[in-house]
Amino acid sequence: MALTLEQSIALNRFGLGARLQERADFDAKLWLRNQCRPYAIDPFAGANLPDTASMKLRRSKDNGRARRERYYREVEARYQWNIAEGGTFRERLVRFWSNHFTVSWAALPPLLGVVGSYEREAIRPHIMGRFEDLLLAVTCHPAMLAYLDNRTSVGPNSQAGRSRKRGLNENHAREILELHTLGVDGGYSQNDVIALAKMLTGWTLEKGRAAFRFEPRIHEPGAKTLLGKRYGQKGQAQAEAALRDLARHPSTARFIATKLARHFEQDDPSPSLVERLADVFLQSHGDLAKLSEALIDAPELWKPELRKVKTPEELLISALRATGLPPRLPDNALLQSARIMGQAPFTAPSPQGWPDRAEGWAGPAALKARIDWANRLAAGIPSMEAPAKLAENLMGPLVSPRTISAIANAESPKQGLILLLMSPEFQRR
Amino acid sequence: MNRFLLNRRMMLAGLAASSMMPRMAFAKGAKDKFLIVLSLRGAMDGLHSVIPVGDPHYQGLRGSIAISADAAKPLDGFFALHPAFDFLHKAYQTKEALLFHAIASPYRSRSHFDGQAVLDNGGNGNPDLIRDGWLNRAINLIPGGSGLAVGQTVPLILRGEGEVTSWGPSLLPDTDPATIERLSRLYAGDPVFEMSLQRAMETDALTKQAMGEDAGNNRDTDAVANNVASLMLADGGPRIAVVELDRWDTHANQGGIKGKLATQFGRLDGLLRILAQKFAAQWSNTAIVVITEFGRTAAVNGNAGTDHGTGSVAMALGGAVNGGKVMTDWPGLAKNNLFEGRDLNPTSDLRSMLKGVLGDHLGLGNAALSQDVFPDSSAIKPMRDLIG
Repeated sequence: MALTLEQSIALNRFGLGARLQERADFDAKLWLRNQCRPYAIDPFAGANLPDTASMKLRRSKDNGRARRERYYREVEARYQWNIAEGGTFRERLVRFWSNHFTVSWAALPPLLGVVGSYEREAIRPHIMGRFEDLLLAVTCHPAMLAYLDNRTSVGPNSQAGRSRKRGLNENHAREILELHTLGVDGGYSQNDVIALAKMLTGWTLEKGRAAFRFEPRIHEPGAKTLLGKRYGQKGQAQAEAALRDLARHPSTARFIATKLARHFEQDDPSPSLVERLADVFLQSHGDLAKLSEALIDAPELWKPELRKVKTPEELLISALRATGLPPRLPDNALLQSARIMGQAPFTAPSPQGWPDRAEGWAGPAALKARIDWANRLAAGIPSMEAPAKLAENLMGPLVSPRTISAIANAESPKQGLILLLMSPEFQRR
Repeated sequence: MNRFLLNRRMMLAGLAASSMMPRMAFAKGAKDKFLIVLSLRGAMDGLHSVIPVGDPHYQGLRGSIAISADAAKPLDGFFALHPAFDFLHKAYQTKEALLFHAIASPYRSRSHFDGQAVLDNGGNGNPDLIRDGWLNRAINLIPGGSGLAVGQTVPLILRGEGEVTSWGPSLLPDTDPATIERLSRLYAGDPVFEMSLQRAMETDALTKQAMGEDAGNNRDTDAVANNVASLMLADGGPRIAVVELDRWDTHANQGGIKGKLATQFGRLDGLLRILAQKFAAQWSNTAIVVITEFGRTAAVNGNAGTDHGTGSVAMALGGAVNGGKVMTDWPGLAKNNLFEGRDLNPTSDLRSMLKGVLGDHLGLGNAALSQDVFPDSSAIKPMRDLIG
């Protein structure tokens, strides 16, 4: 039985792609709705991956090796799960939020050891919870405190600031306002950046251990004013209160709604969709399960036109879901594939995360890399009987007769598979 | 040289050669002038590169990261160059390098991402209003002009209607030409992939012509710079290129004579040196421009680093450049002279420098520069005599 339009859209646009032997016997919207709740069982429970706090901070050769080892294991476990898992709407959302709250080791190589556990500890537990809890979990995670320098930010009038002549670092506070909550046009000023930076002083790490600690001796004392509101709380509670208010701010609702709509609908999303999502965000107090359900309810996302060009990671995962894993796969082959196509996991070029627009991924050299990668992948897949049939099984009514005919008329099954993977339809979602 | 200096689009790029030889799209530019724009992403600290050792407030503001006049390379008495800029300093002495200080794009907030958008779109400061790049619009005005983005994708500065391709080092063997041919038929009419594949194949053919069958897969910065130069110098090659360099966002421990930022400067200097070597035969026709989205705070922050600021430094280098000067209307570093009490006050507009280069090097007229390349900018006068 062939996939219906709704099933094809659910699998490929909301999820990470249809699988080789996809069965067309499910209710697309119910399948998505059932994913709008936390995992009953942690998907990585059996993988025995080490937590962030167990990582040593001291620099040494052994620690460097241990960090790389952690990264490889985390990335491998994530790929395996993403390729095998049935309900991938949730996994797409994990990736969306992980990218929204980017931590990248590209600029700070020691982070290699904690980027994977960061996503498992700070992102995954909250994707169907409240945005404010997600924001707090992310903001106090050691990976983020290191990535955006807050671990070393010192209140100028704190006990340590006065004696050691150290001071503020604005970086984390600015990115919270600009990239995590309000958005760059969300209505904050340079004074708000400084106020939030002062509130966040003291949010740091334990000595020698990658674990969060609030250190009162570096916390800037006194009340602060953020966005016109006075915060008189003492210690850690002050920034917590501010973060909760930022999470509920209408600018945050609009910013998050815009990014979600861009991710699921099109690069320049419909204003009406953005408005509806922002309303759901505000009225539900940032309930991310409700927001995910609102995506399912959005008619804009069920149109047959494929408007989003896949990122390299989306292409990689959907391609391997489509073909199955090649029988002989060298160590770290999936990671290398992502790297070759320009998107090694957790190496976004800046705190803004990976681009979510076509022009960020579809340049001439990028397209050439995708083709050569598909060529290499197809060479490793045992011969496919009928790639044209596979295309229909994977994409249902989303794939055009012209593409089916091009695949069917290929010189060889291998060439047919390359044409499938590189077709305009499979390159989009 | 450390290959992580180069932007991820470049480092992670994968372009291999194909034996398909399509129509050669790069027409020979009327005058064969070469322009390379190095864009420093992350906000390069201008006060750390071209150091105002003569400003009485400099040492006090910079504290632990200040560099003494003795340790720096002298320029004009008031300014000195960070000691890591060995080649740049020589080029300054031979009057082939110009340094611009207290310069900035019209963007006046402190977001990297909006700052880069304004730097690239060439507008009046709005990051969203213009969705293509000033350098692309300039290319579009040059008969037969074409541009090259070094890396997998094309940054905003080069996006638009003008002919632009992207190139990066190859990591995988080629796909066979027959499959490419079928793909290009499958992409006919596709709004994204048709043009992208066509450009990729044209560049690929040119790459092979310029570098040979096996070249172009070395990802070291030196090798990539070499290959880019080969591509640009090839008969019919793109004469204008953009290279993005990452890691200028020095919020913590940026160092002084040595350290994090000094290492970055050393890498930039090395890249300039290699480009100068490769372009030696065309040196008098070559200009290299170095720009960044904004500067950093005048004062050191609490972490021996600097936070996002406003005014910074730009550079122009090459045989075509009328160099040996620091061009600035120096605003001073006294507290009341700083922009919003914290940043180097920008006294000149980057567009006036860029107009000077584009006008005198590429022969673009003032009207085109003020309307097409940098829209609504007739009040921003081109700097004169930058090109010699």
